[in-house]
Parts: sequence; C-alpha cells; structure tokens
Amino acid sequence: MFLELRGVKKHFGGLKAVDGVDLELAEGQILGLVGPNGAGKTTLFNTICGVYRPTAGEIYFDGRRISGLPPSTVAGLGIGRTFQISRVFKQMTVLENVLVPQGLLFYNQPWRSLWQRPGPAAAEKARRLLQRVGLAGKEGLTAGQLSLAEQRRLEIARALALKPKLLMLDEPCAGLSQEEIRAFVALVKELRQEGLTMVLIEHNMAVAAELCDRIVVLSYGKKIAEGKPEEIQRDPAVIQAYLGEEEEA
Amino acid sequence: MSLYYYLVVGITLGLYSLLSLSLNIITGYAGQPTLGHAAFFGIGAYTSALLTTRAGLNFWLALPLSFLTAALVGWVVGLASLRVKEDFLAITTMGINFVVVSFFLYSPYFGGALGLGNIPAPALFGFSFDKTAYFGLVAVVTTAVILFSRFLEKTWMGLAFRALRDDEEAALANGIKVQAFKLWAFVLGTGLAGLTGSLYAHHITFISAGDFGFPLSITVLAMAVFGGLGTVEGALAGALILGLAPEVFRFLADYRMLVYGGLLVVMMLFKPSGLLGRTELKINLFRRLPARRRG
Repeated sequence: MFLELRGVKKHFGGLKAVDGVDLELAEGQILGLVGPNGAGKTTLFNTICGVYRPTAGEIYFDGRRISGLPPSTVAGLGIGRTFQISRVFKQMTVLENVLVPQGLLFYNQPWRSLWQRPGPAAAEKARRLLQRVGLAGKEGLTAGQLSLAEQRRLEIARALALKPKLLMLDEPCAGLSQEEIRAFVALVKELRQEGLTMVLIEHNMAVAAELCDRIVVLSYGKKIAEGKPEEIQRDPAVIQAYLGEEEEA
Repeated sequence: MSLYYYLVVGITLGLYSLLSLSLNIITGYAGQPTLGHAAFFGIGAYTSALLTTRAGLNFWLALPLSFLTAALVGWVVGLASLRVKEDFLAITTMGINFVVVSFFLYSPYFGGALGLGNIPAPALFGFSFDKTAYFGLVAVVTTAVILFSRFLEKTWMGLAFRALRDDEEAALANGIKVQAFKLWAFVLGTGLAGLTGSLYAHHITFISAGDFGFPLSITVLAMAVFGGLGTVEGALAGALILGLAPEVFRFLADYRMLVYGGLLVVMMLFKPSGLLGRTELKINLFRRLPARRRG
C-alpha cells in the first residue's frame, strides 16, 4: 500500500482525538476524510504529516515507516500539505512562497544553503505553478495581500512545488464561494489525471463525493464507515453521527 | 570640531551599523527576538583583548578568532534557548546578557571591575593604525557585512530564515529544519557581533564589563526596529539616525535623551514596521492574554 495506517492513536491527556484508526490508500487515488467537527480529522492529518507523534500505531508511506519522523523529514519524503487556516508566508512575495519548497535538497545541508541560491529554473517552475493555480500576474505581491481564496491556491502551488507523491489538503474549500469551489474541483481533477495521490479533508459532502474514490468517516476519533461515496451517503452510522439519533416517541 | 572628532563619530557609527546588521540576521531575517546581543559583542571584545594583551597574538588573527568565539558561545546558548519562542526567548536572551556581564565583572581573569586596558591598535607591515586608517578598516568591514547580508537574503538559507519567521509550522511542512536554521541565524548574528566587539576593543583600547550591558542590547534592537527589521537599508538607517541623534541633539543638553526617546515612541506609533522595513517585531506577550480568554 502507498499509504497505510495501522491502529494509529493520538491522545492528548485524557482526550482520545484519534483512537485506533486503520487506513489504506493506493497510489493514484483520492481519499476523503469526513466527519463532524471534533471528529479528529485534522489531528489524524497532522499525525500523518509528522506534526504529532502517534501515541500508538504505525504509519507507512511508500514502503517506509514514517510514524515518529519530524514534519520536515516527512515533507522531504514527498508528502506535501496545505493547512486548514491559511499558513502562507505572509511577508514574502507570492513567487518566493513557491520558491521555498524547491530548496529541499539544501535544507538538509544548511552549510550549502548559505552559498547556493534559487536560479532562474526555480523561478520559472514557480511561475508555471502559479499560473496553473490561477495566480499568474500576482508573483510580486506580498502573500498577505491575497484574498483567502487566493491564499488557499497559493498553498496548493507551494505544496506542488515540493514535487509531492502524496498531497494532503485540509479543508481546502472552507470559506470559498461556489465559483471558487468549482475552480478548485477542476484543479484537483486535473492533478488526479496526472496520477497524484491525495488525501482530502472535506466538510462539503457534494465536493467529497465528486472527487474522492473512497471516503473514510471519523467520529470521536474512530473510523465509523469506509467505502465509495455513494455507499457512505446511505450508511446509517454516518447519518447518525452527523444528524444525531432519532428520538423514540 | 576637529577631524579626530569626526573620525571617532564615524567609527562609532560603523560599529553601530555592524551591530544592527548582525542583529538583523537573527531578529530581522529569522524573526527571533533577542535582548542579549551586547553579550556577544562583549565576548568578541574580551576575546580579542585577551588574545592580544595576554597571548601576544596579532590583531589580524584575533579578529577572526573573536568571530569564532562569539559564534561558538552563540551556538551553545542557541541550543539551550531556541527551545523557547517569542517573549520567552526575548527574556532568556536578556538573562544571558546579565550572566555574561557578571562573568566579566566578577572574574579576575577578565580584569574584574577594572576591565582590560592597553589593547594595542592594529598594525600592518610595521604601520600602526591611526584613527584615519582605523576608520577605513571599519568602513571596509561594514561594507563587507552589508554585501554579505544582501547575498544572504537571496540564498536558500535566507529564504529559509524568512519562511520560518513568517510561519514555523508551514516552514516545517516545506522541509525546512526549523531548529537547525534558527541556530544558523544565531551563529551568524552572534559571530558578527563578536567581530564588531574586536573592532571596538582595538578602537577604544580599554574595555570593562559595563560597556556590554543590557542597555546596549536595547539600543541596538531599537536601531534595527526603528530603521526597519528585515532589510539592510533599515538596519543601516536605524544605526545612522539613532547613532547620530545624541550628537546632533547635543545643543539640547539635558533634554537630548528626551528627544531621542520621543523619536522612538512617535515612530512605533505611526510606523511600527520601521522607517524602511516590511517586518514588524512580533512579541505576543500582550496579544496572547485576550486570545486565551476567548478560548
């Protein structure tokens, strides 16, 4: 399996944010993570990316065990990500934001990073990626000046500049307009056609259903359902988690 | 006023510029607040003074060695203190400043309260540097550090510094080993402060612990912030304006520090990013309290 989680737990004191999740994802597929607020989606996401060390369980990616590795190493192995709350480099230009991840080789050898600088090829690649996410012409702006939707697209361009084998998107549609969501859906479809594997946290069921090959539903840190989008939408456990139990008269 | 006066003011401004530029690497580029910069300036000054007066070393060897000594101490201190962030880092570095000054003050080897004197002026091919030549030397070193800062801004390291300054978590997600790069910023900045210390010691020929106290750290930070953090021009403008202000306002006699202080307050009220800067000094002490109340 390309990405595999075995019994992953992440507890914060007594809070079992993620409580024994198994997951499998094949190369080239899109996996959706859905669930009500507080279900542990972002915690699971951050555990995969190395922000948190799992309390128990193991994570394998592309044939390597990655659980316990720091996030910078996980990024170096080819996992690019975006954040739920925009985390662009606000005081840097849009172009510089997309240059940063291209220095990956040098970040492992700080001494060399002191003498080497991004060349025209890196800038060209950054421009292409910006064009691709619809930010052409904004290269020189400070990233903090962009609108929320633009910042989200910049984060995707930045994650793609890492040349990821796996792209993780944390609620990429939150706060976007219908039109912006359509543009995002089109972009993700394009990326899938190029064979990029993705994990997507998504609240909007319609978007998740349209994009994902498989959906995993979390509730209180546990996996309560898994399957194709149409199966998930009919699953009584899912409906209960979202809408609550029907009260007996 | 004599030429000598102008040369001494010029050398002083050069030294302030060097301190401000070196602080700019740590606080401007990498965004790590430090209130203990004068300590490393002092470590460089004492290293150079001891090496030349006690070990009989030549200034040209003592100069790079004071860079290395300050950078080494900066590395050790960085290892311990970079585990904390923002306000806590500011206060930790402030503590380091006090520790280093006490070390100089109470250790007989460092001359104690009497300090170290008779620090020789540098010589080259039998020619002993007078103030004109020394001004030239400081100008050359300052130019070199300006060019280095400009170069650094464009390198992958410079990019990594600014990325981790803006957002550590995002920097990590982009493969930047945040702790390692913070240490590098610390080593470069403290090393350059040490180099400046050596230039100071051989200029003033007598040093004592009081020269490297906390007030100087604040002055240097004020210069970098006033001019604008994160830019070479800002660091220079701050050092030149605030370095010159006490001289220019000399006619105000007792009121000159009042004007100086007022200048700082007005600047921070109307342009918190500094004269030429894009980056604001971020210390969250006061912002964090209401944030916590919101939950």
